[in-house]
Amino acid sequence: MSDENEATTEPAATGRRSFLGTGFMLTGIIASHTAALTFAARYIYPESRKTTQRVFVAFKEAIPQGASFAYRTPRGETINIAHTSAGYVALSDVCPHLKCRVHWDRVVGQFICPCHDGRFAADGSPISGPPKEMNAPLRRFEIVEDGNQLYLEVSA
Amino acid sequence: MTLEAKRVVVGLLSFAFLASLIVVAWVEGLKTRVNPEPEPVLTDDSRACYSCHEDKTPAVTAQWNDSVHARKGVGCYECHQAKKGEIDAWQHEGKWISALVTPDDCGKCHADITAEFQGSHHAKGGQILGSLDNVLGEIVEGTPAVNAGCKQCHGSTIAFQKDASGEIKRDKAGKPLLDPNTWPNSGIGRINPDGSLGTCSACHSRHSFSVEMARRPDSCGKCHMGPDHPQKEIYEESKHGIAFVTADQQGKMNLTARPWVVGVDYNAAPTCATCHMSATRNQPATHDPGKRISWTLRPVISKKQENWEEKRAAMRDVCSACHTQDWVDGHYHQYDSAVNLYNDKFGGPAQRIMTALKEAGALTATPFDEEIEWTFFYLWHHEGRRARMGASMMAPDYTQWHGFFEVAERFYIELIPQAREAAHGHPEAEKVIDEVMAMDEHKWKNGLDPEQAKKVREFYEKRYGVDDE
Amino acid sequence: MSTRGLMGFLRSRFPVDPEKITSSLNEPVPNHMKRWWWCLGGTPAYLFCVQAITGILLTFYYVPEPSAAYESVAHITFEVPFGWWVRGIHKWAANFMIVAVVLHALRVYFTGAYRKPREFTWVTGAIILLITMVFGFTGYSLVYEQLSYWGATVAAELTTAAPLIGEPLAQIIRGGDEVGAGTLTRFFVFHIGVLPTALVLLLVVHLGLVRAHGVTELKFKVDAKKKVQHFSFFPDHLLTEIGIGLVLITVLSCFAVIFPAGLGEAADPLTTPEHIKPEWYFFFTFRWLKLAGLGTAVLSLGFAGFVFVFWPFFDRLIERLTRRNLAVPIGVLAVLAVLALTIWEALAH
Repeated sequence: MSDENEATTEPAATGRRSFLGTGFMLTGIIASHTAALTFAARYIYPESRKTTQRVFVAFKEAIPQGASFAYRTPRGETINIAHTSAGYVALSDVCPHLKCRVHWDRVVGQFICPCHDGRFAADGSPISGPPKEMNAPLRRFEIVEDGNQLYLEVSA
Repeated sequence: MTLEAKRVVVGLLSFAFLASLIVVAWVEGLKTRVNPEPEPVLTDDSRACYSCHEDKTPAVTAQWNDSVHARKGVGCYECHQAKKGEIDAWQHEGKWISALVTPDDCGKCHADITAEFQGSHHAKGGQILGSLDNVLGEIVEGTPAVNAGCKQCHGSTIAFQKDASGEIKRDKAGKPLLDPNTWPNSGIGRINPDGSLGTCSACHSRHSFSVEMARRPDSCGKCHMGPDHPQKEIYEESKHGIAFVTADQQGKMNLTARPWVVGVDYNAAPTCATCHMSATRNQPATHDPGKRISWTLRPVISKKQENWEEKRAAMRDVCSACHTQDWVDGHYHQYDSAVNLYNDKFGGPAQRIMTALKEAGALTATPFDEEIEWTFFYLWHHEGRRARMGASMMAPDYTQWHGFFEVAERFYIELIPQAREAAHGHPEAEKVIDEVMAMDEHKWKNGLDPEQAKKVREFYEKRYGVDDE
Repeated sequence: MSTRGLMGFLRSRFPVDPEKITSSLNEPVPNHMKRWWWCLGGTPAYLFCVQAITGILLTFYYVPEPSAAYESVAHITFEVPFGWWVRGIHKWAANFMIVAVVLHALRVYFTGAYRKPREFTWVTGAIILLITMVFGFTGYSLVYEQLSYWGATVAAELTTAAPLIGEPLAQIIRGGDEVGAGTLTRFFVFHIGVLPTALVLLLVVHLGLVRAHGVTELKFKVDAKKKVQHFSFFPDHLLTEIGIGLVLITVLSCFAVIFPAGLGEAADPLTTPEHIKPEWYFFFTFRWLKLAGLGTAVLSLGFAGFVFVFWPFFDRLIERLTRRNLAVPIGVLAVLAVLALTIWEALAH
């Protein structure tokens, strides 16, 4: 690498290549250092790493198919747990629109948000109202089945 | 290198740095999974119980905090919940609960284990009514001895205080009052008001429910000790028990492992649970210790259990985690021979003499009213068991000095003279005693010349020699 | 137009001519510095910046108090997002920095670049090397795990062996008669306050001298025939330094992933661990201590340090007395001795 002795003075003719090279270099430097800075920012931000834990919610036999009940996590979130034909489904009862509480309407078989008449299907997908416009479903939690017991994965 | 090339190189290096950062982000992502040490989880139902009992019974909540149950969100209400109308249920701070947690309650989650336990001899420990031991306790000794003694191992029949009209007495809050003669009780064969048998907390002590505690010999030692069945002391004298003490101090027992497979999760020593209950590479753990026991060493004369070959094979499988086939064969030869010796020379003949005396009317029908009945009880119930159990678990001193030596002394020095005295004037009974004493095993009592001594030894060699079986 | 307006605004508020700055930085760099191994002086400077940044980040969560120090390090390592990464880089950069400073010193030594009139460039550089080692020592002690705690205890005990100043020095280091709360605070203040300030001041002098004297020029045969003997610092040499920096930070980041900074047992002032060992860069002093005995070792190490710092003057003295230049043989001997002692200690239990 020491053999070039013409290196120090750059001919103007290579200006375009130089532009490409500089662009490539700057892109790399900016991209990598932005990433490093993001990590540093995340490090400083006062919230410890998100961990989840398993919480016992119910025995399977306590929720026959078609039934549902509300469960409150240790952090205070309310979660609707339903035994649907597609298995056990756990959905947040917080409407993604303006954080009102939705409720299950047996008659129509939908979750209904009273604030702006947002409606969700049993699986949490938006049907009508503001949630449909935003295309925002109800937040879903993971249900873990262990023998005849149901557990929920919630943030610790 | 041209300046241009340098720029490209620096650019490439930047992207290499970016790539390393992507790896960093990925590793960081791996760390945001399920909490390895989950915190205790209080369900809504249990939170109210906890907040009050944390103050009223702090040790209970603290023990629970350290338990695996706490990590799984199985708290106060999950176990203590009851339904309105259940005999032991009452409404406490708005919830129907019961102080008694029975195998039925535990079985809601641990169904297989509970079923297995319910089929075990352990679960039937409370059904001792009518046994000779029960006569001894209830009548010869007295009820308080039974309540604080016998039943704390065997299990009480849980009962309630009743008023004159037979109604269950309740306190102001409606809590049914348990009969203090039957509660507290953690006997393994407890008979519960819901009809279930036993209590899981006999071994899995509340409220830590520690599997480690249950696997330690001390847990079994609550009951399996003392003059009539010193299994724990026998274990402690054996090489197994000696190895355990050191292995435990060196932290080699891995007592919290799940599963806890001998030869896989630990190798240094076995505990009671290892041989009688825990998993091997070939069989799962069982909550019925009887599944691996081939002899019953409890009665006057030992018998092989039903399906004893199968049970012995299961135990031999445990042995083979550490021992060779020859070694195990040798142990069972010594063990079987010792039991047969006891049966044939002492237990059987003594039983025969006692039966003859009773049949001849030389003894009353009442148990324990005559000295020879105590002598006989000592012989089989205490010393005879020590000899047999000592041999079963390789404790030389319990086999010999605490065992056969005392059996022999009890037999020759007390039982036979007392039997002869009682049989006086009852020729049928005297005949039986003479027959017993004429057995080859007992002939030495008539005096031994060297020739005869040789014959006796030859007799034992033939009787209990290697070719025997 | 607006740019000109803005530039004009800035120019009048900050009356500095950027041209002048560029030209003052833009010293002509001799051709031999196209070889990367001639750029080891820039490496520690870059690593120092890395240490400053990661160090500040660690201070966000570190608590310099005996009952909380270890816990806070554990918190950084296991709970804070990217904490393991920041700590890993800080740890590895510390090790790299010692290697880089030592290599830089060796290069300067064996090329004779410290000679008149650059004696004080060497003196400041030598002190920087010593400060770097103290940085490593105090930083390691802050973790407050068993080994680092007992390392600090032993080191504080060693200083008492120095004549006259030993005992008062030990008192100042420990902040009392024993290693404890006072010691940890002191180490912390040294590590994040006193030492960085000293290092920055020395670095300014060091770099100022380098710039003022110009780099010692070396002529390689292949370069000798070339017409152009220098190249410009900006942007040519700067790009080289940036490239080296990128390689370093990438390697550090990978090391943080592959060899994460671990955490031993928490410090227990009541139980001395069976095998205590300092960090590897103190191995040679540790072994020498065992060989020579406490008093001799402390005195001889102090003398060796003195000779090392003021070597350019000793070099001249030796040359005058012996009429020969013995720098290279002496240097080789010293390096071999330190290497031998280090390896010996590393292999010993």
